[in-house]
Amino acid sequence: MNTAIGVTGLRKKFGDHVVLDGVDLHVPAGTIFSLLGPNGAGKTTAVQILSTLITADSGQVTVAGHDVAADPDGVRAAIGVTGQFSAVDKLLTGEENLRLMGELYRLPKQEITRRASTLLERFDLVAAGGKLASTYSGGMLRRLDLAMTLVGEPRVIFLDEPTTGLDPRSRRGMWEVIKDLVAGGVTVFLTTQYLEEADQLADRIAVLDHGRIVAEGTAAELKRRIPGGHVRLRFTNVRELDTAARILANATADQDSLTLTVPGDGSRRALKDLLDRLDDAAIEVDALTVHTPDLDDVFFALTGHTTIDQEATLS
Amino acid sequence: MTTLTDSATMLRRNLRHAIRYPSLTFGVALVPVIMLLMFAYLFGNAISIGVASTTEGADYIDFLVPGILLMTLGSGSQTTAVQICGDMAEGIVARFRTMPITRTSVLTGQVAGSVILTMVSSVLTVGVGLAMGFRPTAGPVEWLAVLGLMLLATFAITWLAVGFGLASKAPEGASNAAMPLSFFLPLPVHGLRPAGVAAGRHPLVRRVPAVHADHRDAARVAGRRADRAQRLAGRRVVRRARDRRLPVVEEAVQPRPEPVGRAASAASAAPRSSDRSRPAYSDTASAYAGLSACSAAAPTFAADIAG
Ligand SMILES: Nc1ncnc2c1ncn2[C@@H]1O[C@H](COP(=O)(O)OP(=O)(O)OP(=O)(O)O)[C@@H](O)[C@H]1O
Ligand SMILES: [Mg+2]
Repeated sequence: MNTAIGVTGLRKKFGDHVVLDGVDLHVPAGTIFSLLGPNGAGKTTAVQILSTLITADSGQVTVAGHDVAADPDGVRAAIGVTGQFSAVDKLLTGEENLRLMGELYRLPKQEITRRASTLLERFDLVAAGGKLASTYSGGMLRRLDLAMTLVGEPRVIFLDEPTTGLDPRSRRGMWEVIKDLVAGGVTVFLTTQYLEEADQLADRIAVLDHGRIVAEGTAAELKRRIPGGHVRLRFTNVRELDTAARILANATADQDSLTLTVPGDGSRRALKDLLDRLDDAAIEVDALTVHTPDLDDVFFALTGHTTIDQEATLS
Repeated sequence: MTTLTDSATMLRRNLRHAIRYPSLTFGVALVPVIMLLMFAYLFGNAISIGVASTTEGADYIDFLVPGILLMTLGSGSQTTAVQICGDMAEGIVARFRTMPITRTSVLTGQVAGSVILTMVSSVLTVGVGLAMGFRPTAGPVEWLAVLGLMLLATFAITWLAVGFGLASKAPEGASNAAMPLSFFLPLPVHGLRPAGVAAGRHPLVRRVPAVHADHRDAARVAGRRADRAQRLAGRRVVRRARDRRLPVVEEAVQPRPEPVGRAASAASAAPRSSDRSRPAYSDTASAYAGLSACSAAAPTFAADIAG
């Protein structure tokens, strides 16, 4: 299969801060590849290097058959980029933004008109097309942003956290669009913080942490490496923590924070069972949190450290 | 070719912005007109007392309009710097940089837009001046030369403003950095009052060579061929200053202003190579040389018309 994006030994540091530390990637044409990682992992930096915005310190990067260092214009002619932060001209209307892109791709007038109206329709922006982009909602901006990326009909598309900040419905809409693109033969390089998104869309997922790829594979392969969820209990004193730890044999106690981590999926049954056992022993639980498997677990499993705390506090 | 197409596209974008914000656009275009009215009607009486004694038969307005025209050249620079600075922070410019387009077209589009706005503003100023009784003696060729000089000077100043915009981290900073371009530049120059009026003895005033392009000299040069005057304008001013034994000239302006044409192209070349990651000062230094030549030449010529 054709290689759309090939990366070997990619390194980048800002000052003393090593952001990408030897990244290797291979993305076959016509597939969706997802780079998964927490804040500060280096996702945006990777996208910026791949899309010729910044240069790498070392490493070989080819996109659509062109070397980003030797032939950036060749790369630029083949790619479309929707960055993490909105890249629309807020002083122009949605339609003018699309036309601006068409003019910069030096398309004929009728073709610009045709593509602009098709895209407005496709992204549900027909009514808003004549309004200034500064009046758009976050979701509309995101859609316009992607529409602008598509004006040039790129063969390789970079999407940096395309659904961050979207409501669930818009997110699903975005996913549909991305799936359509790939069905049309386009290659998509997507970054996300959401395992579910990578799971839904990506043919292959790479997990980026502190500038290194710590795992790569299909969603199913990755999930096999993730343990289930857990329940975390907090107590008011060490004595109760110790007693509870003795009753719940598979739990791990943390003396400093007075918490006990019990593996479990957090279902109602499992919780009731857990609380009943503590009640029988007359142990007072100060707080209880249920933790379902998410990116944090992937990280914990793959790197031995956590990312962000996204736990749902119950009491 | 692609450079031209892209710059034209960016110019259209820029003009659209200008139309979207008519208040800002009109504000910039009208400032010189307001200054003209202010100097003519508010301060005019006080200043023009000296006019009659030093010049034969000329009105204050005939000195004022060319002076205000000079001010017009820099009047858009703050807006330009702010717009460039703001634009660079916008995601859209990052998008442009991932597209197969000429990189400088964003800047050239902005410069072209600013120059057009400044020219509109100048025409307005002259128009209002004419309505107020400004009666220039210059012929069509001289006016063409004036237009050419003003275009060059505006071009140089605008590129400088772009340089300030690129070098500034925030629009506020850009606005402050570009401030001297729009105000301090014309003020020490004799543009706003006839040469004979008041002394021009302030050290700052003495150090600006353009100041000495006073109207008696102007009258002397007025008879010369306009194109020759244009070619020599930058050098002549400095030479004249030297003739008058003003060694301080060297520290006041950049050493040895170049002839206008070459200087303007140096000015335009400078921001092209400027990169956000390094200070623009080294780049703008050469532009300064061009600016001083242009700005020195402009009042001389403006004065020529009045004379
Ligand atoms: N221009 C820069 N100068 C200095 N440091 C930078 C620069 N750009 C990024 N960094 C640093 O590089 C690291 C990775 O940043 P990057 O934006 O690539 O992360 P990310 O994975 O995209 O995070 P997020 O999920 O928050 O978008 C961060 O620690 C950031 O502070
Ligand atoms: Mg990012």
